[in-house]
Amino acid sequence: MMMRVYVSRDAGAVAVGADDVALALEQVASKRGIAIETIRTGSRGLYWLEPMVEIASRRGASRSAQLAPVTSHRWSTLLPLKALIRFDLVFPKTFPG
Amino acid sequence: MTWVHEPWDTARGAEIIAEHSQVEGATLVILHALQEAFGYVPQAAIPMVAWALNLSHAEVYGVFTFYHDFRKKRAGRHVLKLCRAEACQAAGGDRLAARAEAKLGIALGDTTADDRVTFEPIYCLGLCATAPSAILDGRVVGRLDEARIDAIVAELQR
Repeated sequence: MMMRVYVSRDAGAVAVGADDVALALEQVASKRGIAIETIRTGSRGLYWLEPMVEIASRRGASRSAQLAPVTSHRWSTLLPLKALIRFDLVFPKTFPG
Repeated sequence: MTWVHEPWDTARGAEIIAEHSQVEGATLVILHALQEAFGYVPQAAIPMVAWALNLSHAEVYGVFTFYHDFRKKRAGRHVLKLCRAEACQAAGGDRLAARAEAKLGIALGDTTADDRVTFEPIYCLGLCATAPSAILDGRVVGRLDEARIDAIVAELQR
């Protein structure tokens, strides 16, 4: 089943690296042969949590996992969720850049 | 954004003005077109626009000065606009502005001698939730701190 990943394209999210996160997700997924569909959603209004990645479960977006804010630092604290989505993410370590 | 602009030329200016003079709300459309072509709005074009649209010089000049995105002279190759409004000030924007000024060797509002960077204040990008924020060549950046300002300046100077 194609995994659905939601990343906001709101200016507030983009300003804190949402584009970089979306790109990194797609690159890592394709490197690992995992089919994902990245959906750039509108604003969530949750600016303090951006960049946020939402992963739809098999039961749909209503039962999903949210990772936020996604930074290389935070990622290491979310190891259990790593198993859920089955791939390692390498986030851009410099931002902006 | 790094555009390649043409040098100011009266005939070319007149052509651009004529091209847009029939559209509704032509003043802004023409000012935008002039700035896109020349990189700024040459002051010699103001009376030409006024003449073409049957407006007074003051009316056209008033529109030109009201919108701060219209330039009197060409900007540097890169434009960094740092938000200097209240929320960003409260989040440490003053310190970041001073730091960027020192690193670039210019004051807010100036362009470096090599024409590489224009550093400008801007008053609210609507990114108060991720203050302090800035816009670099049309790209928004938020949650700025000293490390990120340093990285931006280093990128610009490279």
